[in-house]
Amino acid sequence: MKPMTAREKIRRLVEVKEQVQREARERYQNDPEYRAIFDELKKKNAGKRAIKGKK
Amino acid sequence: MQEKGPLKERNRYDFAWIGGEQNVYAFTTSDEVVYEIRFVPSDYLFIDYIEGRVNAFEMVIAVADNPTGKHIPADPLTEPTILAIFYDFFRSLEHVIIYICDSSDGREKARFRKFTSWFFNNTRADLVKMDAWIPDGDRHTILSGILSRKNPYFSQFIELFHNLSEADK
Repeated sequence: MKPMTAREKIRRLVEVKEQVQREARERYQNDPEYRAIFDELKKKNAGKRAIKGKK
Repeated sequence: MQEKGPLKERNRYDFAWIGGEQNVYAFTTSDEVVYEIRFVPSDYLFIDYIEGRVNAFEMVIAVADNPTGKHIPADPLTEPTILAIFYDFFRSLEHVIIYICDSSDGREKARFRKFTSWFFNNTRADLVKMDAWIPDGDRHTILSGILSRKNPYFSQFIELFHNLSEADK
């Protein structure tokens, strides 16, 4: 790896953050396997709420 | 780590470890807002200070979907969930976590206040947080770094943050 200035490091941190945010949105829209993980989590949340509601 | 207080499972959402090179975690809220938390390897930050690999990671909180179509509603379980994910990942004394509050939408100070309050209210006593405010036009990009006092690269971390703060001076 080449040496980097402080300004270059900060720019790269910002770019990584923006890229991750973009990728997360795109992957959720376009990757059914990835989306299924969240669907499972949503089901778990709904199940927990139902149990809580009965108490 | 045994979960205590606000970290107890009943006080937060379930989360999933997706893994991969960028250490991806996922959770959703009762409003079905979809979050992804990533810990992206960032050892390039220490390239001028340390020979060899440093376990430095940029923590990014990404909203993958917000079906409310509005500003994300306040949710008391979101913060404890992110904290539980943080501790699930941050198990090594050698980890360094960097969080950036960028100025792209002008809300960097609000994000920083939230992150700082989260840190001081919830984190373990052996962890240290250091901040760097970098001018960006009439705003600031704010960087926070978290690591253990026992981290073998503690002094290099202090030097790195000092140099990042001085980036534009």
